[in-house]
Amino acid sequence: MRSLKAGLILPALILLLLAFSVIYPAWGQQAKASSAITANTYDKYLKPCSCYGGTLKLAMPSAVTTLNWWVAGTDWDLIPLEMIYDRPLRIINGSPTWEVATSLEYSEDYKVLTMKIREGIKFHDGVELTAEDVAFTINVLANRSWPYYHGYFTSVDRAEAVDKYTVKIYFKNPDAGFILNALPVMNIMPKHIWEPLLQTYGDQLAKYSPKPEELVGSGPFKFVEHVSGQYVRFVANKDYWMGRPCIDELILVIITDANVAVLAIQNGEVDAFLWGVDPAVAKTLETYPNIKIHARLSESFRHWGLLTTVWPLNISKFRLALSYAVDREVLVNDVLLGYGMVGSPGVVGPFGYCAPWYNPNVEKLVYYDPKKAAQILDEIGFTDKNGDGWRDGPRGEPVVIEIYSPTPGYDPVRARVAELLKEFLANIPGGGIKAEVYYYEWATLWPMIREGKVMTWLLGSGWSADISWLYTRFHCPPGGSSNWAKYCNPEVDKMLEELRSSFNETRRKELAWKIQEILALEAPVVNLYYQAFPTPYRTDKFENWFITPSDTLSNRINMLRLSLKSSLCPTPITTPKPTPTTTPSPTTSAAPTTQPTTSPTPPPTPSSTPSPTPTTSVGGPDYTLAVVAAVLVVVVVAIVLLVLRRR
Amino acid sequence: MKAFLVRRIYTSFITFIVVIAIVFLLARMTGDPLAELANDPRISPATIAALKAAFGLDRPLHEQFVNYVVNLFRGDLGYSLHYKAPVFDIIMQKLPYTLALLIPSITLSNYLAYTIGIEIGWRRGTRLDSVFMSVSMFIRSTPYFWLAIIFLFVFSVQLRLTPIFGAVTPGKSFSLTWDWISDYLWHYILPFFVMTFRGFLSELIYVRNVVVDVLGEDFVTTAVAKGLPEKYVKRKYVARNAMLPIVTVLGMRYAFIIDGAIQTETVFSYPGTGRLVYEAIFNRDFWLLQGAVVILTMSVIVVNFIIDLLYAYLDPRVRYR
Repeated sequence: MRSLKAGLILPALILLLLAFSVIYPAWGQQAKASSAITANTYDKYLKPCSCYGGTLKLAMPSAVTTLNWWVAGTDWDLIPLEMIYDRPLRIINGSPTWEVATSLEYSEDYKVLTMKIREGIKFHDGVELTAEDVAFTINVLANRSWPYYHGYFTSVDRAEAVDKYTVKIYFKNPDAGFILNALPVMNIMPKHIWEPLLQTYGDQLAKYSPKPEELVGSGPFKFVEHVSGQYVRFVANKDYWMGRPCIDELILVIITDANVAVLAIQNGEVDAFLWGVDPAVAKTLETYPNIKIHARLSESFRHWGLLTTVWPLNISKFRLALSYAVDREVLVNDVLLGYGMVGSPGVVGPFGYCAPWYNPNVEKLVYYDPKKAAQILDEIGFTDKNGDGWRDGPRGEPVVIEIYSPTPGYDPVRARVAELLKEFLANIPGGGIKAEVYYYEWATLWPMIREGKVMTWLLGSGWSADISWLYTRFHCPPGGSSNWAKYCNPEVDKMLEELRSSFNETRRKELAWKIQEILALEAPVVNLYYQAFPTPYRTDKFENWFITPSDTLSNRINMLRLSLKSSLCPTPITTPKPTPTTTPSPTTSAAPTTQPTTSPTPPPTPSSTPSPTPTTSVGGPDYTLAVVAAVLVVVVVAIVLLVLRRR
Repeated sequence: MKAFLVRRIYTSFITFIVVIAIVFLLARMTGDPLAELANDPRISPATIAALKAAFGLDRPLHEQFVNYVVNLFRGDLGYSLHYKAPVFDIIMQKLPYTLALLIPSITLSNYLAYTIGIEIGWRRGTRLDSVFMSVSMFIRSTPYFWLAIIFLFVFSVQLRLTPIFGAVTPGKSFSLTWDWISDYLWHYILPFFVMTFRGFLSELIYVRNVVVDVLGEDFVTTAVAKGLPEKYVKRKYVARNAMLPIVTVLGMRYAFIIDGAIQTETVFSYPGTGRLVYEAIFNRDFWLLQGAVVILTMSVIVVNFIIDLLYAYLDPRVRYR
C-alpha cells in the first residue's frame, strides 16, 4: 500500500512540474505583454577615467560627404554624426540600452507607444532637449520619404509631445519591429534648428549642407570643424549628462589608402583605423607589441543566392544538395584567413542583432557532407547519364550552374569564393555538378541580380536589429522587396507576416526558429559566412577599449570611457569621476535625475583648446630636417644644371 | 587674327557642347546611381523614389539634359548626389589644393625636362645620355602608386622627415600664420617632390627624342659645318626647332590638372579634385562628374588656345588668318 502511494506521488510530482514548466513562460509573457519594455543601462559599461585629456585620432578610409543626418548614407558620414547626437535607445553588444529614453510602454492594442525621456539634457547651445525634439524628429522621418531612415518609420502615423518629457507615437498599424529597428538608429535632432530649415527648404532639405553652427546635438562631443577630405574635429562636451568623456578632443582623420593607414597605425600617428585592413596584413600587425586587431563582424550575411525560378534551381532538393556540398569552414579559414564566422544555413547569425533569434539546431540539419549531397542528387534523378563525369538532369539534360561574382579587383574575397564553390560542386562524389564562374563589373552585375537575370550570385546583405528583417529578404515579392532569389513559400510568407505583427516574444522566437529551419532545408540562398573586418587599434596611449564582436571601434562606450593611460596623464584626477547616475528607473521617471554636470573640472590645463604641444615637439626637428633635405635637393639640381651649361 | 578668334571660339563652343552631351549620356549608361541602396535594409523603395525626385533623376532623359545645359549657362552645375551639396562648392573646396600642388610641380618638372632634355639630346650616345635614359625608362615604367608608397615609406616612416598623410596636421585649423603655413609646406614637400620627380623623368625621354630628331636635320649639319659656335647651334637651331612639339606635349599637362593627381592624392591622403573625380565615377555621381568634366573641358580648350597662340610667337612661319 505504502509503496503504491509513493509510486503515485512521484509521477504526480513530475506531471505537476511539467505542467508548470509549460504554463510558466506563457504566464510570464502575459504579464510582460502590456508592460514596459526592458533594456540595459549604461552603468554596466562605463568606467572611471584615469584622467581627463588627450586627443584621440581615429582614421577613416573615405571622405565625409555630408553632415546632414537626414540624408547621411555612408558609415563615414554616420560616424561623425554619431558623436554629436544622442538617441532614445542604443544597441550595445547586441542588446538595447537606455539612452535618452527612460521607459517605453505600448497601449493595449499596440497602436500607441508612450516614451518617457530623461530630464535635464541640454543641447550644445544650451537649449534643453525635450519631448518636442523627439516628436519633431520622428515626424520628419515618418512624414517625409527622402530621409535615409524613413523605411523604419513607415508604420508611424505621427508623434506628439504630451508634456515636456513624454512622447506619444501613434501607429497606422502595429509594428513589432519598430522599437529595435527605429529608435536605436534615430539621432534626436534639435527642433529649434531644423524646423525653420524645414520650413524654408521643404523637401529640398535633402540637398542641404548644414552650417557648422547648425550641427548642434546633445551628444558627448561638440562639433568644431570639418575640413573637407581631411578631418573632422570635435571637443568633449564637458556638460554631457552622462558625465563628460575622458578624452578632451576627438579627430576623425581621412587616410584614403589602406596601406598608408597601416603605416600610420604602426607609427602611432593615429590610434585606430575604422575600416578593415587586408587579413594578411592584419596577421602581421597582430605581432606588433602595441597594436591589437578587433575582428569586427559585420551585421550581414554573405551568401550564394540561387534564383529559385529557373531549372534546376526551382527544385528545393537540388538547392539543398548544393548547400550540403559547400564546405563553409574552408571559406572562412582559407579565404578570410579566419576573420569571419561560418554561416548558419538558417541565415540568422549567432552574434550582434541576430543573437537573440539564432536557432542553433539548424546546423544539425544542414552541414558539410558531400556524400549526403550526392545521395539527394541521386534521389531526384540528377546522375551522370552519359559517363562524362558530370551529373545530368533526370532526362539527361546537361546541368551547368552559372556563378556570378564581382571582379577580383572589386572584391577579391568573393572572386575567390566563386572559384572554391565551383570546386566544391565538382567534388561531389559519384559525379560532380558542372559550374562556370563569371566575373562582372559590380555596377553591371548588381542590376542583373535584382532583375533576376543571373542564375546564382555572391552577395552580402545587411540585416536590421529586429528579426522582422527576414520579411523583406524572404517574403514572396513584391512584399519581400529585396528577395532577389524570388523565393516564394506560402507557409513561410504567413509566418513572416505574423513575425511582423505579433508582439508575443515567445511566439516570435518560435516563428523565427521555424523559419530558419525551413530556410536551411529549402535553401533559397546558401549562407556562406559572416565576414569580420580586422580593424587595428593601438593600446599604448589609451586604455579601457570596449570591444565586442559586432560593435565598431568608434562605439559610444569607447567614446565615453577611453582614457589616457595614467602614465601619460598630465595631472591625474584627485577626486574620482562622478559616477554617472544613469539608473533610468523606467517607471519613476518623474524624479529629476539631476546630473552633477560641471562639478570637478580637470586641473588648470587649457583643455578646451587642443593641446598643440605634443605635435610641435614632434614636428620641430622634422621641419628643420625637411628644410635641409629640400635645400639639398635644390643645390643638387642647380649643380647639375650648371655643369650641363658649362659644357 | 580676328577671323581666327571668331572661328576658334565658335569651334570651341561646339566642342564643349558635344563633350557635355557625350559625358551626360555616358554617365547615365553606367546605370542607376541609387542602385546600391536597394540592398540596404534601412532604405525603403519610397526613399529611393523621393531621392530621385529631389535630384531630378525621375524626369525623362532629354528634359534632364536641357535642364542641365540651361542651368550650366546660368553658372549652376547642379547638386552632387553623393555629397548632397552644390557641385561648384565641392569642387571649389578641393581645387585650391590641387592647383597649389600641380601648377608648381608641372612647371618645375617641365622646366627641368626641357633644359636637361636638350642637353642630353645634344650629347646623345654619351654615358650621361645612357644614364639619364635608363633612369628615365625605369621611373617611367614603375607604377606610380608603388613609387609614391616607397617614397612615403622611406621619408615618412623610416626617416620620419615628413608626415604620412594629409595636407595639414589634423586639427590644425586654417589661418594665415607661419604656424599653419609651415605645417602646410611640411605636408606639401613629399607629394610635390614625388610628382615633380616622376613628371620630370617621364617627360625627359620625350624632349630628348625630339631633340635627337632635330639634330638629324640638314640645317643643323649646315650650321655646324659653317663653324657656328656649338652653344649657338644648340640654342638657336636645335632648341628653337624642337620647341613646337615640346610645347604641345608639356603644355597640355596643365590642361589635365583637375584629374591629374589621383594617385598622389590617394597615397598621401591629399585632398584634391583628382580623387573627387574618381569617387564621382565610382559612385556614379552624375552631376559631380559632369561638373568636373565641364571644368576639365574648359581648361583643355583654354590651354589649347594658349598653345596655339604660343606657336605664332615661337615660330614666325605660323600665321593666323
